[in-house]
Amino acid sequence: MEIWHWMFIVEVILLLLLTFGSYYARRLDMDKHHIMTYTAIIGQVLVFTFYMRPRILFLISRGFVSELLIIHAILGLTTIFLSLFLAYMFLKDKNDYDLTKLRYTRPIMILTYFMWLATFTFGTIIYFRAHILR
Amino acid sequence: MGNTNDAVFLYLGILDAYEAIAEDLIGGEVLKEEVAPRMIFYVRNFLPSKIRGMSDDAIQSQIIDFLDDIRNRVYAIQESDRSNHNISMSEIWELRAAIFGFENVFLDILGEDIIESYVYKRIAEILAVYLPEVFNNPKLNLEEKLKRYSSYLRDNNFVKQANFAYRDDQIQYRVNYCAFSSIHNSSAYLDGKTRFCPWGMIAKAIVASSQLGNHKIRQCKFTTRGSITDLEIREYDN
Repeated sequence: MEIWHWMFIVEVILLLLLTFGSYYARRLDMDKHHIMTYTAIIGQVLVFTFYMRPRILFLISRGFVSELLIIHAILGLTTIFLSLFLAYMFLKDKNDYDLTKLRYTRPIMILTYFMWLATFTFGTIIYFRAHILR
Repeated sequence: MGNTNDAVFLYLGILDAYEAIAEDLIGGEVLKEEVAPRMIFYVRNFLPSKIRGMSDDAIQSQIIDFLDDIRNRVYAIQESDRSNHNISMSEIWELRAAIFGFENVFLDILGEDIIESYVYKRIAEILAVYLPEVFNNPKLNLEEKLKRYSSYLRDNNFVKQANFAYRDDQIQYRVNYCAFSSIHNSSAYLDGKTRFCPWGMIAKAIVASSQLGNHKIRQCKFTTRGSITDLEIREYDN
């Protein structure tokens, strides 16, 4: 199987992890929430570093740049930065619980989840156009 | 929301337990001399519009009148037609202010050690009397009781999520999307001066009623709309 098929499966798994992580946040099962979201973030950073970044650079060098790809790249990069920011905020002093921090970061978490979902949707459209429906 | 009066009855149980222990350990005038002055901070935080322009003395005397009044009304409600005697949200906040006033007295006068080794345990024992019978049924094991308590909270719409994890000697009790959680925006919560969630305290009473050993609230974390209460059960050591 080609690498992009594997990457699509990995992205589906990462989105599922993030979705289950959100579900456990609603239940306030924070251990499971953290395991799932941190795993999803680490996975996404690895996929970005070793697949998406070189792939996009390759496509740019060949002139294969569509509007959809640009939107996917901008949304995806922003989402990764927001995810890393949230992970940093909660890992830097994880023993020092702060309700104020939670109040200000909660809307960012919700925004990040929906941006991740939007990035995934654009990525799926690109994947299907390029590798399934061609 | 479901029957607020049931929740208020349980809150009153916490208050009665605090008052009984405070009178026992500190003295008969503890409410007037120690608790009411400390409650002012919480009342100012929870009900700023209600007490705007009032002096501390006026608030203090209003608090004492309120506690007498709410006690009589809640007990009347429990014995009569409930539907005609609803307790308002601002009265619930004030009741909470009273509970937290007591907690501050215990922290300031008795100290952390006595709270952990005696006060919380005794509160849970007294509060167990206020629990609906289904949570106190000796034929049920602790997990079953906590499951029924969680269903009770959800079915009455006090919270949308209520669940627990019970592992070895640790219990984590969690509630989310609490009907009363708008109070978490007050500075008394944000600056960490509020130390326990009443739902978690009631869960602790259920643990106490199961008589598994010594138990204590290790910590209680508030989220924007809920709380996580960590309980610890230990072998009897006294």
